[in-house]
Amino acid sequence: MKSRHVYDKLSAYLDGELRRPGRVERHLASCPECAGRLRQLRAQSERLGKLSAPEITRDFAARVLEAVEHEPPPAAAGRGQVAWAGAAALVMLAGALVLYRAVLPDALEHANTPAGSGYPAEEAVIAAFQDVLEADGAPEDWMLADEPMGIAPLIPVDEPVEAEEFVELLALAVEPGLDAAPLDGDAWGALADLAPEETEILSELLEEYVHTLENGVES
Amino acid sequence: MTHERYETSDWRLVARAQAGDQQAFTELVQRYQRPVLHFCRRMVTSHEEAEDIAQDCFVRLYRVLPRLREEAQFSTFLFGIARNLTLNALRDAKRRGRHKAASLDERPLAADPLSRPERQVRVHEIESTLEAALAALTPEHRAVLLLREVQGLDYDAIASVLGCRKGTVRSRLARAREQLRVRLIELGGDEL
Repeated sequence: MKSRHVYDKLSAYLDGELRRPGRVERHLASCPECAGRLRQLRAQSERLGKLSAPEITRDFAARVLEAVEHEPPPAAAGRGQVAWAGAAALVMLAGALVLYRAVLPDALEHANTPAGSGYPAEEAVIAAFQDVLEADGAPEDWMLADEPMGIAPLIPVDEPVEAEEFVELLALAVEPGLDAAPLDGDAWGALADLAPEETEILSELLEEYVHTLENGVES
Repeated sequence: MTHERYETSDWRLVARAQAGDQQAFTELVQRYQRPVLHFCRRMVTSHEEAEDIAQDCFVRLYRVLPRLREEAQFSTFLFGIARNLTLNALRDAKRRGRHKAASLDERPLAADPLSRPERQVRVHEIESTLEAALAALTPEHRAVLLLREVQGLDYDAIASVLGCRKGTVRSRLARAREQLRVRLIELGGDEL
């Protein structure tokens, strides 16, 4: 009997990202449909890799340097951006809480209890977000500082971070390009305008967050 | 294209730039201006807008230099900024009511067909079709495809850029490729 099509595995197979490629290879040897689909994916991948790069204007770098000329020197920057970074993080976390309540409870129905805490993961997540939301700006003592999360490349996974630093890093990691201006005033109001892409970012952030609560930090 | 060969010296340049060495920052800009611009150009509506965003990427980089730590490929941090800025720009354009697809720029990337021999005209047609199909994808699908196929990042690096898990990259990339395949067939460009 012929095995089922493997369309959903072809992308990862193409990239050498399957742990057991042998099964797909055996199927491909006997299934012209899947073999044909793989050829299409490979061809489009090759064409994408050959797309023309845009011309770059000769003064591109010069204009960047001109723009940063008025910025404080890197070594002196940093703390001045905490306020907006904190506000950005607050919006992100608030958005994540909204999403959490709206979308994720079903997914968490079978969530495990985090080791040692005595709270279901669901309650721990809500408590964490509420702590942030109730704080006026960055909280003094971020409750998860002792349980760092591997949610972004900028957040160290092997050492606790200070509350303020964490909020700052989180904002930059989640939304490095975020403008401070739209975040002035009502943070909750800003959520009403979330684009689908932002919603997806927040959703994934929260998934990572919950995953870490349930499983600890992956080394 | 891969950016891995740069990684060691990237971070050395970052360390020098953090110490106030403007030449090191300039080298970072020159090293990444082309790939960052290419990514931005494929994400947004016009060359001018892409160039503005690409420049803004480096300004943002400058601002966060003090907080950068050597924990991932440097390029993933930069593409993370580029991805967010382009998504912001697309969102703003949508709010303003501009729904122009990315490939419908007044200055298309594919070369002028009239100045090319027949075989290259065919290449131009293929590239135009590919651009149109790419433009029809959601920005998130377009981003993951560009990071993989054009920038050559591996799944771990893409996960860093997108701030998600490797499994999410794998599934999103599979969906993006399938969407692109279907769009190409609809546009008659399935014989790439």
